[in-house]
Amino acid sequence: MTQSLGPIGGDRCAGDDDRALVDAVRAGSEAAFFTLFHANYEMLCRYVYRYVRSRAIAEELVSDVFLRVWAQRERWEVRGRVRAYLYGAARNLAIDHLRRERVEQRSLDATVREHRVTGGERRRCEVEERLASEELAAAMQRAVDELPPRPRQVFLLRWQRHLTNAEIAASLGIAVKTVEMHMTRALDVLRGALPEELRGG
Amino acid sequence: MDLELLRRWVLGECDAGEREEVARWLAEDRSHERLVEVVRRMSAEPGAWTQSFDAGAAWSRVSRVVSSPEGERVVRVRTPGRVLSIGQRGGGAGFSGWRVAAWGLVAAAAIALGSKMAWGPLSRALSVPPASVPMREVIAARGQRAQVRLVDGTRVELAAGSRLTYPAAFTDSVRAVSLEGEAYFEVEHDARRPFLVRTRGGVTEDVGTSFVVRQYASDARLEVVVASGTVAVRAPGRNATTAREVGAGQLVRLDSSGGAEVRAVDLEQYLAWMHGRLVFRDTPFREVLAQLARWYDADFELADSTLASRRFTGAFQGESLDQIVSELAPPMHVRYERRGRTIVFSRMPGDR
Repeated sequence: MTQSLGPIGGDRCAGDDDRALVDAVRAGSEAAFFTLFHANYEMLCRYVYRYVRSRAIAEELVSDVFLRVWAQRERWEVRGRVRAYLYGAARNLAIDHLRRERVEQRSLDATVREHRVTGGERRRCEVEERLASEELAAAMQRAVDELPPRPRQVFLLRWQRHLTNAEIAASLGIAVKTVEMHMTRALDVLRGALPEELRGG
Repeated sequence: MDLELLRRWVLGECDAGEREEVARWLAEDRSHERLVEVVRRMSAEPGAWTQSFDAGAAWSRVSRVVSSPEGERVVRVRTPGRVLSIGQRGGGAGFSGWRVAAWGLVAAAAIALGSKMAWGPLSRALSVPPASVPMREVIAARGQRAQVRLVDGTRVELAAGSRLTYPAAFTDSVRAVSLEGEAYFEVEHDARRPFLVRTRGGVTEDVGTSFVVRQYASDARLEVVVASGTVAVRAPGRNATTAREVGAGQLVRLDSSGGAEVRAVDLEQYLAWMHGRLVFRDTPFREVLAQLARWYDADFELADSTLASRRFTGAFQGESLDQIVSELAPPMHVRYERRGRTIVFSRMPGDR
């Protein structure tokens, strides 16, 4: 029953692959770096896009993530999964970017209407609310991208194309029961990506 | 919360009981609206959650930095109390500065020039390779150091206030780079393709080596110190047969008339800068100040020109500029005062 090693065995294998890839990048292998880049670039762009809402800026920030890894490859430390590391680094850059944008905006505000303190205060709340909302959208985007292929496909057909389970089953050539199973799996993963207070019972 | 229920609520597919359930839940906490908003976007923006990005095009941009010259890095010298950032908008991470260094060298050059460093007519003094090969340039501005790994694997460490120019690709027969300032080279030796360092006052050729080449714009002579292996140094325009071979632990000084002086030196003194140490042994005060000016991006002035030839012996590591100046003054028997950005040294009263 070697197949039923479950997530533990699966994780260990993936972790070893990660280790090898990270070690190769650290040793200066461009091929390894290329692999790392291609395996993660699009996902990270979609993720960062949820923060910055600009494709160009998302691409620039994600490129920065990789260039930073390369520039400091000899000292590159990855604890845990390399993908989690990349998401974390991308998030930091995205938030830095929003903060910079906000500082610029605020100094603009300050010069325009210095005396209207309440206006500035309201603005600060709006900005924080917006960031919390982007964080949530980004977490959902990441969860969707990290779904296994089948559940992801089913989820998108339902949520984006609004097909019924029967239509999905027909278009993928699988049983309705299987569609339901994938859908349940996808929604579980998505719910797991939500912050505690939104997960509910 | 049941995401599927929220989706149906957003799409208006809920019955009265479900609508009431969602309304109750929404009233519980403001953060719940946030989730509804995301669910709305997720189900109402077709394609937005699966938009594609061109990783191939992005890779070709990124790989310019990664693979053509094996990556360049401008390292900030740790000068306490002074934060240098090059061409960088906002207070971002050092990395952005690095990217600017690799992609936007023109900006770095402008800053270096802006900091009162005269580069001199570099291109005129050097034989320029065929125009078809794009040239690249790395600059360590004052107060900075830079590391470069060239396509052939050669490692270069640039000292503060220095500039290295090199072709994006080397030819089959020769690997030639141009230097103004000071740099340490660790050459991947290849007998069929000699590695040449061109400076205003001469050409240095490696014979399997690591060495330091130094000639700032203000230096009349070219200095080469060999850490390991052998190098051959010759005056510009002379052929290889006139070259002077120099071995490990030796310093060669080449003056403008082609005269060479070779002597054994203490390597530590010449290599210390790479480890962030400044070492002076019986060094003329003028040179001490020139070095400090580059390292700390500072300006000095001598109120009395005869002070220039006084000599100083000592070492610094990690001190602030103020500390260094205060430690330097007593043994040099000078006074100092700050005038704006400039530190002025003058003779002690009654000193002759």
